[in-house]
Amino acid sequence: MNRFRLALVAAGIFVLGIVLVQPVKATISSLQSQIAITIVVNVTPSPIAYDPVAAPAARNTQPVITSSLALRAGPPALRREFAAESLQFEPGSTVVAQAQSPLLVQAEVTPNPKATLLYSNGGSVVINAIAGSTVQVPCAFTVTVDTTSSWSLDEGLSSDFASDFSGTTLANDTFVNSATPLPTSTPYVVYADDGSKWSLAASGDKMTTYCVTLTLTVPGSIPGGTYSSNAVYSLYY
Amino acid sequence: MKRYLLGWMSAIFAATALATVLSPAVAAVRATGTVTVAWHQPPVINLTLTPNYYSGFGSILATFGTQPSPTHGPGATGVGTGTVDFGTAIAGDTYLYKYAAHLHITTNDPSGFYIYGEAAAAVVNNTDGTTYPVSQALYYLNSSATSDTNTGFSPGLPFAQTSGSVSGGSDSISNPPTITYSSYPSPIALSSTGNGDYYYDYQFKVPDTATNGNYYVWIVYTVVGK
Repeated sequence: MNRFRLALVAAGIFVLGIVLVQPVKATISSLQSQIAITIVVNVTPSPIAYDPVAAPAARNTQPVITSSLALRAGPPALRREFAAESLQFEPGSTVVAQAQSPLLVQAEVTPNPKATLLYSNGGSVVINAIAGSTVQVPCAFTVTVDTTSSWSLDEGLSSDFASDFSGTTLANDTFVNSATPLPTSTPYVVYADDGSKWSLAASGDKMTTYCVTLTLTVPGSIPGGTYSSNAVYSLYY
Repeated sequence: MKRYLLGWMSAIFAATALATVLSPAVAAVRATGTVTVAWHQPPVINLTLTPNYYSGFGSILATFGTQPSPTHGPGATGVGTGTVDFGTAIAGDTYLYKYAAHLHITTNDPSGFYIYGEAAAAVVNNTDGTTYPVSQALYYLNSSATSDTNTGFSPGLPFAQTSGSVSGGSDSISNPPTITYSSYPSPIALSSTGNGDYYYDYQFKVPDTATNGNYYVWIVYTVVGK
């Protein structure tokens, strides 16, 4: 009887151990590799913001260089004014004052022992967009996880593009490279705004390459200029 | 007969001279006008470029949360001297270099100036000669004189490789380049006043495929009056 009880207790401890160890195992997965793809956005101001007709009219009435000559003694047909809007000086006659100074940037690069675990096919993506428009970049970059461990891949933007240009305006459709794109895109979480958290992009236990299609909606109020953020991918197992 | 011809010729000559003198139309033909002459006096521009401009300069691996202490390579010899030397960098990683460059600009041009900052060439591995696009490797971020909150993941803007004519810059030590522009690129900054100070951090996004070796690139700053 005592042996039977001991066996039951041992079995109970074993089962309890299995039950307890599984979540622990899940929580002890650690960051193995992290990559960032820079997203550069060149915003052109919305055309609604200015009157395109005004420019040529102003140019006709306010030439930069003008001169006039009246032929007072000639017949009326010869009494013309001559405008010299197109008068150009020789390029060599234009003197531009400038000052110039160079700066050397150096680094000693060594191989990355984890470079094969998580990598992308590009370090940056440039998106040109007009304020108030939506731009889609099909398969802007790929992300490859290359391990047979049971892994999870997190994603998110490191920060907003600007204080008035939220990172959530950028959505991603992350799908297996050999498969068809998903029907919808998901806005990136922004690490700096969303409680320092990432979102789960995918999980698996074999090498997988994902294609990331980006969809950016630029608010109409965004001034023209260049903005950037980083799409960060973190591999855990 | 000869005297007859001479008389006629004299009469014609006299009539012509008289008509010339008396003709008001011919006598009034004059062209008058005004010409405005304008010229541009080039301003005097002074640029002082200071690397590693504040204590605590150096390279930090891109990290979320608590930031590690900056380190630097041997080329960064001290505050205000040397090069922007990231030191050892691992392929595929991103680094922030704090307090990389300070531009102090003075001009006598009250309308201000433009600042252009471009790479003279691609990023070069001096060891095996491979090159990498600078626009995917080196970025700049605004900083300040004594502090900033930038990290390796802060939004930076890429340097571009110049389309101007480059002289020099063929090695990383003794041959600094100059750029001659036929047309200027987009400025990285502009001022509407005559003087200004600009502070920059750099980010180095080491390409995944970067081979081992000593990398360098020259960044050339050009200041032009408006």
